[in-house]
Amino acid sequence: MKKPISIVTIAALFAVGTAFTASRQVQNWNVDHPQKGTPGIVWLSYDQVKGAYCPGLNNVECAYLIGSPGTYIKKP
Amino acid sequence: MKKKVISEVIAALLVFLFIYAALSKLLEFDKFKYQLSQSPFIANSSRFIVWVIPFGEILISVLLIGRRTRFTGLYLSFFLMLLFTGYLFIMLKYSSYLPCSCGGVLSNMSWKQHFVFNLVFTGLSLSGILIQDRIQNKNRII
Repeated sequence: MKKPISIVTIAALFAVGTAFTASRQVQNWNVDHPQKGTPGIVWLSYDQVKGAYCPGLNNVECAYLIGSPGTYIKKP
Repeated sequence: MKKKVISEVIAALLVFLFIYAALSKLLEFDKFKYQLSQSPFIANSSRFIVWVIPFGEILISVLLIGRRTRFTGLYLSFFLMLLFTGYLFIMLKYSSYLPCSCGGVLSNMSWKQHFVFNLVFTGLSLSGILIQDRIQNKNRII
């Protein structure tokens, strides 16, 4: 007889899904160097801001989360 | 039977917390690394801690999922939660600057809320140890 999946395993799978969904959550970011003709405040996910506004290898701050100024995105 | 269900629920809650927190840190690794480097007490060892915490959380989760390794997982969960709670207490008490190094929605909590949240999970892991200990003792007797 097959063993049923325990709730601990289900919790683990649920956590993986929640973490990935949360990382794609869009938020209001203030980007330090917006592209020409675009606003400085953007409504995007962390990954999108990082990809679009934080190129290069400078390791300097390039955006911060509005409403939570302690949350920065740094250039890779 | 009832004890086994409670033990499963506690393990499930801890697994959810650790996997969610570990993945949130790894998915926003630069953010986590930066925030940790700003911490007044652990900035010097942040390069090491930045890897140890998320992978430690994943390892504990794996131990909690396995029924045979759950007891070890609960002990490690209690130790880790105690460490986090102690760190939060020291930060709240002695640091003038409070950068949050937590992942995902946990970063939206205030430091005091986070402290209470950690206390609850420390208590949960301690209860898990006590319940699991009783289950294993009972199994040994049988």
